[in-house]
Amino acid sequence: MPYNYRIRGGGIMSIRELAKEYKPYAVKIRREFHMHPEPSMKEIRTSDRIIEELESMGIECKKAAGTGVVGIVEGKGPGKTIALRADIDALDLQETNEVPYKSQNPGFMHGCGHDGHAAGLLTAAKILKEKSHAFDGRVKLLFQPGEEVAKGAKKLIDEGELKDVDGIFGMHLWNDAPAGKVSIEAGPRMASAGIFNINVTGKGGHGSMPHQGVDAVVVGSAIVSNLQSLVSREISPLDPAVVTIGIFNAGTRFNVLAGEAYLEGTTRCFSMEVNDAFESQIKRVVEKTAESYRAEAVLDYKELVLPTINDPAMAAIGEKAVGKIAGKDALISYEKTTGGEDFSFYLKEVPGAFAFVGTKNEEKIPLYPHHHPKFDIDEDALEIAAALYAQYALDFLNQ
Amino acid sequence: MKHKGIVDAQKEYVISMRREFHKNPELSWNEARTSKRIKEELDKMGIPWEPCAKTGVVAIVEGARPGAVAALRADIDALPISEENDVSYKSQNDGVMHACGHDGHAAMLLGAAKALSEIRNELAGTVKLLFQPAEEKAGGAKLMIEEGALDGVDAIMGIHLWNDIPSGKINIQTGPRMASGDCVFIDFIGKGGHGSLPNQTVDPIVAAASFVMNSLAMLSREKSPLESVVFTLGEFKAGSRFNVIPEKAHMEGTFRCFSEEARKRTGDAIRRYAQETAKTYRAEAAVSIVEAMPATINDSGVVETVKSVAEKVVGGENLVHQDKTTGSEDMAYYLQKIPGAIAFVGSGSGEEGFTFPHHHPKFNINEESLANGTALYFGFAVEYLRQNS
Repeated sequence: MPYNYRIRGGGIMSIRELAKEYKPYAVKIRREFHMHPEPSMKEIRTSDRIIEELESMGIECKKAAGTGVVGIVEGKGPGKTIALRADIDALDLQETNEVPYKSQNPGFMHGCGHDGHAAGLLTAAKILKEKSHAFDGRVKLLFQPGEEVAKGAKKLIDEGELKDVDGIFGMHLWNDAPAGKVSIEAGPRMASAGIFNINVTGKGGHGSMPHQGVDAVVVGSAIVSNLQSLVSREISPLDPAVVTIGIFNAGTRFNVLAGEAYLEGTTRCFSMEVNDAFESQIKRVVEKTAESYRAEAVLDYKELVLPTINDPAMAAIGEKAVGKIAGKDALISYEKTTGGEDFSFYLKEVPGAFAFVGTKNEEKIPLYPHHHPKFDIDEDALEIAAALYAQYALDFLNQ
Repeated sequence: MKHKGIVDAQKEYVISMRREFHKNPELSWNEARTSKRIKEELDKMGIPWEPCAKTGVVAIVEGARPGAVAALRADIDALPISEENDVSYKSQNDGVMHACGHDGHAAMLLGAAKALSEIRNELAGTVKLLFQPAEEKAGGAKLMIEEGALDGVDAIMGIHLWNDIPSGKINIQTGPRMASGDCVFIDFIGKGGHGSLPNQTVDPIVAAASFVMNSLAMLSREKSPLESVVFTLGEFKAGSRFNVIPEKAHMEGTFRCFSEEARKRTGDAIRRYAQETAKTYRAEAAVSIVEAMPATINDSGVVETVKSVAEKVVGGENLVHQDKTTGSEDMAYYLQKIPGAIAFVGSGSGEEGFTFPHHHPKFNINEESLANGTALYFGFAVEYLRQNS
């Protein structure tokens, strides 16, 4: 039995107990991050502080993906590798909460809970370091930058950080679920997000002589109308899908025939099949519609994030872990959401699971949605987040 | 033609006045210099005048005996265009250009005034000369009428120099000649929200796009295929971000018709398509139709008089047919009030390079056409008074 075993009441401390003990640390560090929010891919202070904290715990770590941090907690012997991921970036949002830990960085705010993710994973690192006698293999801690701009996960993957990983677990603190509850179901959990723009080129002219031109307003409108048939006629009614045009800009003057139209939009879906088909479907409708009006249209389509789909086996590990750290009643069923997560890119590489950890507690904290200038969380959830990270790693490695 | 010598004698004067106006173009409602020069020239001719509609001028050539009142109208404003012609009389006013021929209109009417003043003792009745500002902004004629320019007038004739017709030819036809032009402003009001949760929103872009498509059936299904109507939505603006469904979509457009009846019917149909399409999508449509210009409709009686004069000026074989156009002309306001006509006097000539369309920075006219226009103004006044006094 190594010297660093801690005993309380005659037994080895469980992860649940350690999380409770380290809760003040989790709250303190979460508030520190909350006070110093930084924009995506520029999490300089945040990543420096994470390194300091990990080093003070004796955990080997390095910067990765620019302002991200990768740390390694080695177990007692060789084995598999589980990655635990926390995103660390904030939003360009002016906080209007009046709290002692209010953002000190005007125009930026942790309005999505990533401060809590980073704090939860640091606390889990502390727990896992202390419990390193209790597992084989190793835990890779991924403090990921730039989730809000969907760049960080891709960059960590590009840098090869997932090559030696056998499974991955991540979470989102979630204001739409009660504090104390966790959802970690198999299957689709969050939507894909695609961004696209369409440039329609017709032929301008005088509004009184439409036949001499090719009216880009009509072509753009036909494209918007025709795109509706993708969701209503081409995609299975059982597969949720969204195609939204958010911007339609054409023309300069009421009596001048618009020669060009610019459209911008987004797609959402929950399956890789639907996601993979979007670009070619939209391209066909856009190009053929334009051609039928004697115009030209060019589609530029980019995948921002993929659908976040939990591997059933990996979700099952998580569900059991929740039972251990918070009791069976803590598990809830939560409908998948149309929001997107760049955690999806990891799931394309390795099996994994993503949990929603409830943070709603209207008795303590007024309820505001994510990305709201008054967003805040019930910090009791930090204890569950830290415990769940650690328990998940332990259970995965010991399976 | 009687008095041919007197009219022909104005040729050099008209060309020099046209070039002077061309060199000093002024925008709608800002025709201060142009107006001042017209008054000076009228003073030299001994023709009394009154200012009208700010920068406009109404002059009176009184005949020796009482009789009918004929009005001649010339518009005098220029356009916000930078001239690209390299001519000795090129615009000296940067960014402003006489690119529609109004310089010629004003000059021809001054030439006709001079000729009329010389024969006034032979006239029974009165000729009113309307030098009208702001045709391009479609407000000049309206204000002229409000300030009494048509009071007591029995008939009116206007001229447009027209580059689509070769110089030496004239077009004068009865019925609709130019279209009405009204403005439409529509806001489709939905309910904004996140682009990933369309069910929580009412998407105004889809409703507006659907309206554009639906409203086209008004042209293909609702009106007679023999009737001409134009409906163009020149602007469609909505949204701020790819993943946000906006609160509203804004559209601006114009519609063109050739009768008051069609104008009302088309406006009503646009309202109906907008409001009902919006409702189909659970949205609302706020439609505002701003009436601008009526259709320009020539009176058949006045056309006959103009035609008889035009035959004498250029010869019957040089009266040409021209389809009505979907452009608008505020001459329409006068024609709504009293019988009248607008004639298109050919000022183009492919061989001589006057091939650029109206409102083009290289637009220019064949100055040979000015004599025809001057004679037509003069001849119409004389002939109308002869027939009606």
